[in-house]
Amino acid sequence: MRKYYKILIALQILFLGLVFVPVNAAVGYNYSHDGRIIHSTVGLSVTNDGIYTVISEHWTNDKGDRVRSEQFTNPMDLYLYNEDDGEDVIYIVDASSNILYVFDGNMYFQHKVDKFEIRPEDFIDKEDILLKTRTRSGSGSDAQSITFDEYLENDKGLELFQFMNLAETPYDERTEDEKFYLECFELSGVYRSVRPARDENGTPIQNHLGQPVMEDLIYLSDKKNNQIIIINAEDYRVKQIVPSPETVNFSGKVFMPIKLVTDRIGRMYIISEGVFEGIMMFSYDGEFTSYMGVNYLSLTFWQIFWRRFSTDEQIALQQTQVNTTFTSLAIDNEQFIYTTSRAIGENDDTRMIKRLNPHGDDVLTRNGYHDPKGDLIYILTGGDQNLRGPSRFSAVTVNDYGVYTVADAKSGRLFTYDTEGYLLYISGGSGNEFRDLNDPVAICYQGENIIALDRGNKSVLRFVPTDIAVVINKAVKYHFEGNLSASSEEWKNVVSKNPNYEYAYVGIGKSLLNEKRYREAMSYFKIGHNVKYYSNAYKLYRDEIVAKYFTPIFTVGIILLIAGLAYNTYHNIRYKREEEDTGEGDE
Amino acid sequence: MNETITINKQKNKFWQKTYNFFRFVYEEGIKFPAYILIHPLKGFDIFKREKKAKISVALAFMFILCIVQILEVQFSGFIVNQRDVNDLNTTLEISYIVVPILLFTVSNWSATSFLDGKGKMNEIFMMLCYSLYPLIFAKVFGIVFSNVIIQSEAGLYGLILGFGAFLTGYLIFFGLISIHEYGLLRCLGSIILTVLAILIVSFTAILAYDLFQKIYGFVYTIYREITIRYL
Repeated sequence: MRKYYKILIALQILFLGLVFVPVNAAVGYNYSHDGRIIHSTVGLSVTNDGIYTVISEHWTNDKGDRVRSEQFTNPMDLYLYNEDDGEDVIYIVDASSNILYVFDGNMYFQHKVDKFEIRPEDFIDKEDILLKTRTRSGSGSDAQSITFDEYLENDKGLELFQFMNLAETPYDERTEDEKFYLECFELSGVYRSVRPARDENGTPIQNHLGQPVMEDLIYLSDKKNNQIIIINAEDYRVKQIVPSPETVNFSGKVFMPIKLVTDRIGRMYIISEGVFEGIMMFSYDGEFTSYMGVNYLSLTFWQIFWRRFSTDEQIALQQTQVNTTFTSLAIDNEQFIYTTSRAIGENDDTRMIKRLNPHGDDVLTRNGYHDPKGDLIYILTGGDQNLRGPSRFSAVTVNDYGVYTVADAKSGRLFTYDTEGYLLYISGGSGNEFRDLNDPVAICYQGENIIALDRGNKSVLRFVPTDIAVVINKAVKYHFEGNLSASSEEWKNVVSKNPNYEYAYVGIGKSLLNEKRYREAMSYFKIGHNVKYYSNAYKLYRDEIVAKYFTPIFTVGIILLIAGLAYNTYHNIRYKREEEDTGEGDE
Repeated sequence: MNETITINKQKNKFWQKTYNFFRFVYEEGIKFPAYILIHPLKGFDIFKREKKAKISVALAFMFILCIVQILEVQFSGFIVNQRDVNDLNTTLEISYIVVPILLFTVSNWSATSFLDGKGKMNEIFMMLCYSLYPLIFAKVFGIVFSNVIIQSEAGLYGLILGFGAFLTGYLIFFGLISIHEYGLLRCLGSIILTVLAILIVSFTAILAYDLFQKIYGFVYTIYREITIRYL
């Protein structure tokens, strides 16, 4: 027996080793060309050091200040900004405590801002804006939205003109009582970008080289105060206020901004809760100009049919049919806006993701095996509202080479698509662990990684591409840049990792098509199930065949025809004559 | 000497048989259906009165169409056919051909019995099978054609198949008129009745299927009950 002890111990160790080896068994899936689920690895996965919550040490800064759990109960938005020096800054806003948290690129907590200083010198000749400006008084359940002059009167005992007069006092000489702060009420969106600075007359400021001077600003959606607060990125000083619009096309509606982006020249595109006309576009100065990209609702035949025969009372009792609002938006390098929304009506799930051009038209390329719409297979009926229906997108982000990822709040998954509209990979998923994504409210690309804010777990997750996703991303990037041969090499690597990855064959085929190897390209397109490219390749191949064989076949044909005719003529002449001869002879 | 003669005779007999077979195929399988196609009323008249139709030819047409149907899935060009060959279910494909023909035969016969139709059941069946003639050619041509087209020419492929189907429908219509010795309106009426009959038959079939399943389930439960309790 004794001599077996060694073997037994060895077996024991082996067994324990097998049990305790950290297995990252993230089993994902993808959709095949005909919409069937095929098992494959996830595209992006959360590593153990990529989970940040209030208990992680990343969220305590050098001064001992930290993100407190009671002040981080309702995180609403996350935005990642890449500064000029290459450093990333991550902003998170919390709608309950109304605090703007600032993190660095590695999610180390820097500082938080809970009120934003407003100085009279920034608002000279803008009293009308200040009259519309609102701030919050009280906190928790006592919080209410008050106007700025009420704030001045209640808190400081000042009138608005006295506040404006303070502009003449140098800032350093002002007492603590002469400093004023705006507080947000349900801070639900954050965005940062640069825009060309303008002077009082509205002309762009240029430096001595003639280049426009840019100003670096943070935009905050102050939902319950019905305004957008624009602050300086360096000192968080209020720079501009965008109050609720009072134009005719906004009458009777409440401005409750949730998410926003701006374009290169400083126009703002704002999603406002309860506004069904689309995304609200604001000018540089904060004037509401127009709506864009409305999700028009179309009734089905039966809905129209029944509405036609129902009385006004009956219609009033029915659920109102309204256009679908947008849930999130992101802007890409070409100044196109990616948006997500719920399924339009209850049935149309094909236009949940849109790419809007500046005119407001949807220009998203949908050349993939299926329209980009998240999960293809879902339950249509059933009592549980949470499980029923198509994906419910809550966030979208786009990277430098046109790859965009949408977050599905229903299943907690991230769906990544390329510029052509092909589903590249699916990642994430909801669950009970910290690494699971339960209620994604905002996602942002950080290079190849994705930073996701999870309102359910009150955490931030960093998704890192898995081995295969790294290669896929490279291939897509090369393809985007037009480097087909490099892209093809990467697609071959993808195939060697996962032979079921159908889109890779299309990528290889494209490069072969470019090299005029049509036969091979055809076979690749066939495996990749791309009819359009197969057809293109076959057309060129057919042209090649025709060009090669047409001349000889045609020549031989002509020669044979002429020979036949000649023989026939000769035959006719000869035998007819003989016939005639014999005929004559007979007679 | 005698042996060679018998061998020669046998050889001759063999060649004679082969010749006769091909002649039969040509006369009955190609020439006569083509004649019907070109002169439907006259053709089906000969078909019925002179009893020129052969059940063997009719069955052969059905069989060939089944084969062509399967070949279509497997060999049509990628442009018009993205079906996975792994999904090919030959039984199902055959049933797509055979079941409608049989169903139509039975239903039409029952419907036309009401409407003084002169056709017998096997005549209706043979008429249907003879009418498949243009469809077979269209499908065979379609298979070849689909392999040499590009996506923008796929419409032509649809046209070919559509034309074949149209001709088949056209033949069935004239066949019904001739076989039952109907006028136009009466023929249309009989077709509507046939469709009704098809619906009734299929409904009954589904009902019976469901019932059998229930009976099977019942018997199976009893069997389980007995085995678990007493065995």
